[in-house]
Formats: sequence, C-alpha cells, structure tokens
Amino acid sequence: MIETHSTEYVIGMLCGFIFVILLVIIIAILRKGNKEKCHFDERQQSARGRAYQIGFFTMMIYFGIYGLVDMLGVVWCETSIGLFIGILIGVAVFALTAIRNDAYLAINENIKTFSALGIIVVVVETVVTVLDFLDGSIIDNGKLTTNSIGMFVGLLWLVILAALSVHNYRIKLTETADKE
Amino acid sequence: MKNLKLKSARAAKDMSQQALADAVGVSRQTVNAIEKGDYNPTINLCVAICRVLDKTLDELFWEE
Repeated sequence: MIETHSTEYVIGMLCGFIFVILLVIIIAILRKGNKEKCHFDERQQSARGRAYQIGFFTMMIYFGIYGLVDMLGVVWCETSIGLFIGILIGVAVFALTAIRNDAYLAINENIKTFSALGIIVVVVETVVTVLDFLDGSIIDNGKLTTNSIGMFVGLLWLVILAALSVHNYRIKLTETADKE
Repeated sequence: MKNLKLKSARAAKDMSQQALADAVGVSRQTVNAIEKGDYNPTINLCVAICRVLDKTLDELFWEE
C-alpha cells in the first residue's frame, strides 16, 4: 500500500529542503570570503581524508547489517529513518576521527561560534523530541518513525560537542606541558 | 623519531610552536607533530619552516 501525504505536508517538506539548500549556499558564500583565514593545513587534509574513509566504511557496514536484519523480517524502524541513521553514524565516525586528529575545525575557525551553533541545534532538537515523545509520535507499532530524526541529529551534535570539549581540554594540557 | 634539531632551532629564534605555526600557515598541533616525529611534512612545508628559521633543509631535516 502506498502511503500518501497531504498537500500541506508536501509543501512543508519542500520549503524545508529549499531553506536548508539556501542556508548551505549562504554559508558557502560567507566562508569563501574567509578562505585565507580559515583553511586546513596538509596534515589536517590528510587526517580528514582518512576520517572520511573510516566514516564511509562504517556506513557501509551499518547498511550491510541493516539490510540483513531487514531481510530476516525484523523491522525496528521506518526505511527512511533506518537510512538516515546510517548517514548519521558515518558522519559521527568521520567527526570523531577528525576531532581526535585535530582536523575537524579549520585553522583560525572560531570554536565558540561552532559550539554556539551546536548548542542551538541540540536545544531545538531536544524540545522537538520531548514534544514528539509526549504526543507519542516517535514510536508507532514498535517502530521508530521519521519524527525521531531530530532526536538522532541532536544526539550527533551532542557527541560532536562533547568530543570537541574533551579534545580542547587535552590540547590545553599539552600546551602547558610544551611551555614547561 | 623526534626532530630535536627543529625544536632547538625554533627555541634559538625564541619562537613558540604557535608562532612558527602562524608563520608557515599550519596549526600548532602540526608543528608539535613534526617535532615529535608523528608527522612527516611535505617538502613545501619543510622549505617554509627552513625559511622562517633561517636554516637549510639538511640542517633541520637530514638524519645522520
């Protein structure tokens, strides 16, 4: 049976996509002017390449397991959320690997601005997730629904922010040790 | 292997890792990794470091 959505839902989704695309274009234009100031050096580029590789293979392994579980008839989420979780896991592995090698943020990139953005996303997603939990739309018939996407996005940002904080703390420790 | 020659040349110029990193356009962690021997820089970066520290490639990067 094909699931149909109302016109309002389709228009809302389209507006959301267009908004995100416009936001990405605006950020790309703003960053272009700041290219000289913020860039990745050769070690960071190499580390990011390795991080992309690890993230990609992790995603492949996840999709393999997801497909196998699906074939066995165990349906624990809607297909769209299952695929989205795979992408988020790939991004998380990339981010954590890059952070570990000090290659996630560019040289001179302001960590405070990045963290502020992350905190806003986490707060918004937490509110949305709590509201969805209260009206019971996160889980339907024992399956995670697309409404749970926000929860996973918030979780991803939370993990990235926590990893950045720990990494920064370690850097400060090594800086102190180097000065001594 | 640690690059002690680079570390001593930097210290002789009274430069911090951050100052050297800023001068050659890399992160402080990259300079730290080179000094610790955890990262092998490209020839372009080696030349840039040599220029800033007024040393030759042999003086800083040639292992006896």
